[in-house]
Amino acid sequence: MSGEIDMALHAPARLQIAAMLARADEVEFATMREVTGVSDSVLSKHLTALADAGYVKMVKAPRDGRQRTWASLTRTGRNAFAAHMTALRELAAAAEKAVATE
Amino acid sequence: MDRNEAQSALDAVKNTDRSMADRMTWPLWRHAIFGAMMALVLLAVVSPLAAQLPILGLLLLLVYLVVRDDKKRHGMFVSGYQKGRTGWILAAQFALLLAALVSSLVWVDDPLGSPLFWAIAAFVLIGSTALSLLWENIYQADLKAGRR
Repeated sequence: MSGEIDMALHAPARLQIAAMLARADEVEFATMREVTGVSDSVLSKHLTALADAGYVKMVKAPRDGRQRTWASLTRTGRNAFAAHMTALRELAAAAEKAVATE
Repeated sequence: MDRNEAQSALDAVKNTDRSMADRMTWPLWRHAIFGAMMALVLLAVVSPLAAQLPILGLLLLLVYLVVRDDKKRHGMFVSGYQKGRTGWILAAQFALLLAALVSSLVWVDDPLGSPLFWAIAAFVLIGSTALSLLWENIYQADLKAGRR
Protein backbone atom coordinates (compact mmCIF):
# COMPACT_ATOMS: atom_id res chain seq x y z
CA MET A 1 0.00 0.00 0.00
CA SER A 2 1.33 3.41 -0.93
CA GLY A 3 0.21 6.45 1.00
CA GLU A 4 0.29 10.19 0.71
CA ILE A 5 0.69 12.96 3.24
CA ASP A 6 -2.74 14.16 4.31
CA MET A 7 -2.74 17.82 5.30
CA ALA A 8 -5.82 17.31 7.48
CA LEU A 9 -3.68 14.97 9.64
CA HIS A 10 -0.45 16.93 9.38
CA ALA A 11 -0.73 18.86 12.67
CA PRO A 12 0.86 16.78 15.51
CA ALA A 13 -2.19 17.03 17.78
CA ARG A 14 -4.49 15.87 14.96
CA LEU A 15 -2.21 12.94 14.23
CA GLN A 16 -2.24 12.01 17.94
CA ILE A 17 -6.05 12.25 18.04
CA ALA A 18 -6.33 10.03 14.97
CA ALA A 19 -3.80 7.58 16.44
CA MET A 20 -5.88 7.27 19.63
CA LEU A 21 -9.15 6.88 17.77
CA ALA A 22 -7.61 4.28 15.46
CA ARG A 23 -6.94 2.10 18.54
CA ALA A 24 -10.34 2.54 20.20
CA ASP A 25 -13.98 2.63 19.26
CA GLU A 26 -14.82 5.84 21.11
CA VAL A 27 -12.74 8.28 23.16
CA GLU A 28 -13.98 10.99 25.50
CA PHE A 29 -12.89 14.60 25.05
CA ALA A 30 -11.17 14.77 28.48
CA THR A 31 -9.14 11.63 27.74
CA MET A 32 -7.98 13.03 24.40
CA ARG A 33 -6.97 16.26 26.16
CA GLU A 34 -4.91 14.31 28.74
CA VAL A 35 -3.10 12.23 26.14
CA THR A 36 -2.44 15.01 23.62
CA GLY A 37 -1.60 17.59 26.32
CA VAL A 38 -3.37 20.44 24.52
CA SER A 39 -5.93 22.87 25.91
CA ASP A 40 -9.69 22.45 25.57
CA SER A 41 -9.96 25.11 22.90
CA VAL A 42 -7.08 23.75 20.82
CA LEU A 43 -8.44 20.21 21.04
CA SER A 44 -11.89 21.44 20.11
CA LYS A 45 -10.47 23.25 17.08
CA HIS A 46 -8.60 20.14 15.88
CA LEU A 47 -11.60 17.88 16.41
CA THR A 48 -13.81 20.25 14.45
CA ALA A 49 -11.27 20.30 11.60
CA LEU A 50 -11.17 16.48 11.57
CA ALA A 51 -14.97 16.32 11.67
CA ASP A 52 -15.19 18.82 8.79
CA ALA A 53 -12.83 16.60 6.78
CA GLY A 54 -15.23 13.70 7.43
CA TYR A 55 -12.62 11.83 9.48
CA VAL A 56 -14.20 12.07 12.93
CA LYS A 57 -17.73 11.70 14.22
CA MET A 58 -18.66 13.40 17.50
CA VAL A 59 -21.59 12.67 19.78
CA LYS A 60 -22.65 14.13 23.11
CA ALA A 61 -23.77 11.78 25.86
CA PRO A 62 -24.57 12.45 29.52
CA ARG A 63 -22.37 10.95 32.26
CA ASP A 64 -22.44 11.78 35.96
CA GLY A 65 -24.98 14.51 35.27
CA ARG A 66 -22.83 16.26 32.66
CA GLN A 67 -22.78 16.25 28.88
CA ARG A 68 -19.57 14.70 27.56
CA THR A 69 -18.26 14.69 24.02
CA TRP A 70 -17.22 11.37 22.54
CA ALA A 71 -15.33 11.04 19.28
CA SER A 72 -14.83 8.12 16.94
CA LEU A 73 -13.00 7.68 13.64
CA THR A 74 -15.14 7.27 10.52
CA ARG A 75 -14.25 4.68 7.88
CA THR A 76 -12.89 7.52 5.72
CA GLY A 77 -10.84 8.70 8.70
CA ARG A 78 -9.43 5.21 9.30
CA ASN A 79 -8.40 4.90 5.66
CA ALA A 80 -6.90 8.40 5.61
CA PHE A 81 -4.94 7.73 8.82
CA ALA A 82 -3.61 4.42 7.45
CA ALA A 83 -2.54 6.09 4.19
CA HIS A 84 -0.92 8.97 6.08
CA MET A 85 1.02 6.56 8.32
CA THR A 86 2.20 4.64 5.25
CA ALA A 87 3.39 7.88 3.67
CA LEU A 88 5.26 8.87 6.85
CA ARG A 89 6.98 5.48 7.04
CA GLU A 90 7.91 5.61 3.34
CA LEU A 91 9.30 9.10 3.71
CA ALA A 92 11.35 8.17 6.79
CA ALA A 93 12.60 4.96 5.14
CA ALA A 94 13.50 6.67 1.85
CA ALA A 95 15.50 9.34 3.66
CA GLU A 96 17.22 6.64 5.72
CA LYS A 97 18.14 4.77 2.53
CA ALA A 98 19.45 7.94 0.88
CA VAL A 99 21.68 8.65 3.88
CA ALA A 100 22.97 5.05 3.84
CA THR A 101 23.92 5.17 0.14
CA GLU A 102 25.76 8.50 0.42
CA MET B 1 7.55 17.43 4.69
CA ASP B 2 11.14 16.25 5.23
CA ARG B 3 12.57 13.13 6.83
CA ASN B 4 12.91 14.73 10.29
CA GLU B 5 9.30 15.87 10.30
CA ALA B 6 8.14 12.44 9.18
CA GLN B 7 10.22 10.75 11.89
CA SER B 8 8.99 13.09 14.63
CA ALA B 9 5.38 12.50 13.51
CA LEU B 10 5.99 8.73 13.75
CA ASP B 11 7.55 9.20 17.19
CA ALA B 12 4.50 11.22 18.33
CA VAL B 13 2.23 8.35 17.25
CA LYS B 14 4.48 5.91 19.14
CA ASN B 15 4.22 8.02 22.30
CA THR B 16 0.43 8.15 21.94
CA ASP B 17 0.34 4.37 21.60
CA ARG B 18 2.45 4.00 24.76
CA SER B 19 0.09 6.32 26.68
CA MET B 20 -2.80 4.16 25.50
CA ALA B 21 -0.97 0.99 26.61
CA ASP B 22 -0.44 2.43 30.10
CA ARG B 23 -4.09 3.38 30.35
CA MET B 24 -5.77 0.32 28.87
CA THR B 25 -5.70 -2.36 31.55
CA TRP B 26 -8.76 -4.29 32.60
CA PRO B 27 -9.29 -6.01 35.98
CA LEU B 28 -9.58 -9.80 36.16
CA TRP B 29 -13.29 -9.64 36.97
CA ARG B 30 -13.87 -7.80 33.68
CA HIS B 31 -12.32 -10.72 31.78
CA ALA B 32 -14.34 -13.18 33.88
CA ILE B 33 -17.56 -11.30 33.03
CA PHE B 34 -16.71 -11.75 29.36
CA GLY B 35 -16.17 -15.49 29.98
CA ALA B 36 -19.53 -15.65 31.77
CA MET B 37 -21.20 -13.89 28.86
CA MET B 38 -19.87 -16.49 26.44
CA ALA B 39 -21.10 -19.29 28.74
CA LEU B 40 -24.50 -17.56 28.84
CA VAL B 41 -24.64 -17.59 25.03
CA LEU B 42 -24.13 -21.36 25.17
CA LEU B 43 -26.76 -21.71 27.89
CA ALA B 44 -29.26 -19.61 25.91
CA VAL B 45 -28.92 -21.85 22.85
CA VAL B 46 -29.56 -25.13 24.70
CA SER B 47 -32.31 -23.75 26.99
CA PRO B 48 -36.05 -24.04 26.34
CA LEU B 49 -37.66 -21.07 24.60
CA ALA B 50 -39.19 -19.73 27.84
CA ALA B 51 -35.73 -19.45 29.43
CA GLN B 52 -34.00 -17.99 26.39
CA LEU B 53 -35.50 -14.51 26.69
CA PRO B 54 -34.44 -13.91 30.33
CA ILE B 55 -30.94 -15.21 29.53
CA LEU B 56 -30.67 -12.93 26.50
CA GLY B 57 -31.98 -10.06 28.63
CA LEU B 58 -29.27 -10.76 31.20
CA LEU B 59 -26.67 -10.85 28.41
CA LEU B 60 -27.77 -7.47 27.07
CA LEU B 61 -27.70 -6.02 30.59
CA LEU B 62 -24.14 -7.32 31.08
CA VAL B 63 -23.04 -5.83 27.75
CA TYR B 64 -24.53 -2.48 28.76
CA LEU B 65 -22.87 -2.55 32.21
CA VAL B 66 -19.48 -3.60 30.82
CA VAL B 67 -19.47 -0.85 28.16
CA ARG B 68 -20.57 1.73 30.73
CA ASP B 69 -17.87 0.62 33.20
CA ASP B 70 -15.16 0.63 30.51
CA LYS B 71 -16.11 4.12 29.40
CA LYS B 72 -16.14 5.38 32.98
CA ARG B 73 -12.81 3.77 33.90
CA HIS B 74 -10.81 4.57 30.76
CA GLY B 75 -12.61 7.52 29.20
CA MET B 76 -12.78 5.39 26.09
CA PHE B 77 -14.21 2.16 24.83
CA VAL B 78 -12.20 -0.51 23.05
CA SER B 79 -14.19 -3.41 21.64
CA GLY B 80 -12.64 -6.75 20.78
CA TYR B 81 -12.79 -5.96 17.08
CA GLN B 82 -9.45 -4.30 16.56
CA LYS B 83 -7.04 -4.43 13.65
CA GLY B 84 -3.89 -6.51 14.10
CA ARG B 85 -2.88 -9.68 15.88
CA THR B 86 -5.86 -9.63 18.26
CA GLY B 87 -7.89 -10.91 15.29
CA TRP B 88 -6.42 -14.37 15.97
CA ILE B 89 -7.84 -14.28 19.49
CA LEU B 90 -11.27 -13.44 18.11
CA ALA B 91 -11.00 -16.36 15.69
CA ALA B 92 -10.02 -18.68 18.57
CA GLN B 93 -12.93 -17.36 20.65
CA PHE B 94 -15.34 -18.02 17.80
CA ALA B 95 -13.94 -21.54 17.33
CA LEU B 96 -14.24 -22.28 21.07
CA LEU B 97 -17.86 -21.17 21.22
CA LEU B 98 -18.77 -22.96 18.00
CA ALA B 99 -17.14 -26.20 19.18
CA ALA B 100 -18.99 -25.94 22.51
CA LEU B 101 -22.32 -25.28 20.77
CA VAL B 102 -21.91 -28.15 18.32
CA SER B 103 -20.78 -30.65 20.97
CA SER B 104 -23.62 -29.64 23.33
CA LEU B 105 -26.29 -29.90 20.65
CA VAL B 106 -25.01 -33.03 18.90
CA TRP B 107 -23.52 -35.19 21.63
CA VAL B 108 -25.38 -34.25 24.81
CA ASP B 109 -28.96 -35.42 25.36
CA ASP B 110 -30.93 -33.12 27.67
CA PRO B 111 -28.03 -30.66 28.06
CA LEU B 112 -29.39 -28.89 31.15
CA GLY B 113 -29.54 -32.19 33.07
CA SER B 114 -26.18 -33.45 31.89
CA PRO B 115 -22.96 -32.98 33.89
CA LEU B 116 -21.09 -33.09 30.57
CA PHE B 117 -22.91 -29.96 29.38
CA TRP B 118 -22.04 -28.08 32.58
CA ALA B 119 -18.42 -29.18 32.18
CA ILE B 120 -18.46 -27.79 28.62
CA ALA B 121 -20.03 -24.54 29.90
CA ALA B 122 -17.35 -24.26 32.61
CA PHE B 123 -14.68 -24.86 29.95
CA VAL B 124 -16.19 -22.05 27.82
CA LEU B 125 -16.22 -19.71 30.83
CA ILE B 126 -12.59 -20.43 31.78
CA GLY B 127 -11.36 -20.60 28.17
CA SER B 128 -13.06 -17.32 27.19
CA THR B 129 -11.70 -15.59 30.30
CA ALA B 130 -8.19 -16.80 29.40
CA LEU B 131 -8.60 -15.66 25.77
CA SER B 132 -9.80 -12.25 26.97
CA LEU B 133 -6.67 -11.94 29.16
CA LEU B 134 -4.51 -12.97 26.20
CA TRP B 135 -6.31 -10.39 24.02
CA GLU B 136 -5.36 -7.65 26.50
CA ASN B 137 -1.72 -8.79 26.56
CA ILE B 138 -1.47 -8.77 22.76
CA TYR B 139 -3.29 -5.43 22.46
CA GLN B 140 -0.87 -3.85 24.92
CA ALA B 141 2.20 -5.48 23.36
CA ASP B 142 1.14 -4.16 19.93
CA LEU B 143 0.65 -0.66 21.34
CA LYS B 144 4.02 -0.71 23.11
CA ALA B 145 5.79 -1.99 19.99
CA GLY B 146 4.01 0.56 17.78
CA ARG B 147 2.55 -2.20 15.57
CA ARG B 148 -0.29 -1.00 13.36
